[in-house]
Amino acid sequence: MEYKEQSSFALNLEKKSHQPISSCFQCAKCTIECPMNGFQEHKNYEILHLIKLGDENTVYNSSTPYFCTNCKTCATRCPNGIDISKVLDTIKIKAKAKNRVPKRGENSSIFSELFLKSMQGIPLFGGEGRSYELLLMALYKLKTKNFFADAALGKELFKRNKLPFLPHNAIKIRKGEVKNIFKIAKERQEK
Amino acid sequence: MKIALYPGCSLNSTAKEYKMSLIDVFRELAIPLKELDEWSCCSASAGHSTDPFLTYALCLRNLVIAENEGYSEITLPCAACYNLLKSAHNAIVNEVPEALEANQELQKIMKSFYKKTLNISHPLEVLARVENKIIDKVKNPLSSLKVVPYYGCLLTRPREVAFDNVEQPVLMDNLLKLTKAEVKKWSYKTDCCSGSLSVANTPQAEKSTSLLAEKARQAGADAIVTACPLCQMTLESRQDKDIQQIPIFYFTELIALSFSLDNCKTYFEKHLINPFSLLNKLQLI
Ligand code: SF4
Ligand code: SF4
Repeated sequence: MEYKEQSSFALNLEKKSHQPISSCFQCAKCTIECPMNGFQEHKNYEILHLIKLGDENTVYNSSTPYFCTNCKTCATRCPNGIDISKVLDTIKIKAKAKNRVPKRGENSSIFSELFLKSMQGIPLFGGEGRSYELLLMALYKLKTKNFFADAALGKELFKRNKLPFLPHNAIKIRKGEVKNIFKIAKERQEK
Repeated sequence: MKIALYPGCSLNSTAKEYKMSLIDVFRELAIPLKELDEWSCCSASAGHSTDPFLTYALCLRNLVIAENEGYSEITLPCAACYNLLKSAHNAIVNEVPEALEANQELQKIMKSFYKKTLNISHPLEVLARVENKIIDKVKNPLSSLKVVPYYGCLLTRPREVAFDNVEQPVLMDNLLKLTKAEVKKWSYKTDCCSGSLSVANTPQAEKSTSLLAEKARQAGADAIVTACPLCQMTLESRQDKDIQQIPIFYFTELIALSFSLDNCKTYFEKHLINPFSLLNKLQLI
């Protein structure tokens, strides 16, 4: 691959994530300390390097962004002040918009999507503004077709009255505000 | 001055015992606390991995309500909520474009915007201010209990939101010492439990939590103490089930126990890993 000083891909990600990607000098501090480095398809420093090379395909196909727990260890260690988790978030957002979420990243992408859905409430039941655990878990199981995972855990939580059966209907006066925020965010994305 | 409590979604579901013990301890110490009316979810990791604008707007909405209700401080017991709301505050102070835009939109939606006046705290900080009051209330010293404090990620990182030293936080250590519990040293107090991927990538969470439990045991601790509902839940539900599991407490529960508050049994009954055999053995309950 031809090496350019700064690929347009890198410039774009740098702008969107507000992180000084170009100042990465490959010291790998962000990688050694990353608790997920054993699960990463590409190590953090490799992702940074691929971005600088402009290798969009490899970056979008990598599952690395979807294995980040957002623990911010990388951000604390990087001598150049790069918050790698923000770069990875930006890759996820762009991949989603381009419909390019890789297979190994699907679960965490689905979970995020459903989480946001669950906090917008359900027609007739309400629940706007708070996440609704039971709906979230049910939809997640349907979407990932993994019906048995955590069934025992759900039962234990239920027994201890920790999994409310109905959505949290706590927003009564300021109804619609959260929905409006979601609406405006969506319009903004479509622009 | 009354402090606003932003409990976050977990404290009304999987972390009910955290909310109960927190409210009980604050009441006992006469620190005025009131749940923020009409608060909404901060959107957790689902938000920031989807759309920064959306996350800022959802977080700032809560700060606007707190300001308008006349609070000067809002306290957030969940590390993820704490991190996001404090980051949103910082983003307004540092004029991050998406945050400023979100604030402008709130003016349209709520007829008000965030004016950066709030002190955003974690209950650990609030309690650290009243150490003397705590010392006076300890009736049931936890001297036989050996614990390791676990801060996890989002209370101590990144630097801009941390309320304590990033590498070596001590606020919780100090509070636990006031209950006379034996606080053990270990090198894992700020390691990650993988909580945010506990559902989507369970094997990863199992690996992290089992390591933490093992290291806590090696440090000579009988229990791990947390200050976050996601850490507590992950450590309890993903810990290796084939070996003797180690109980996971909230720091507020142990303070309540040292105060001999009536509700302690109710908190502990809600745990997934039963702490009673340990507490009975040590004659603390
Ligand atoms: S935030 Fe993500 S990339 Fe950074 S150290 Fe943590 S898991 Fe690794
Ligand atoms: S720590 Fe920073 S400079 Fe070093 S490899 Fe990682 S991103 Fe690059």
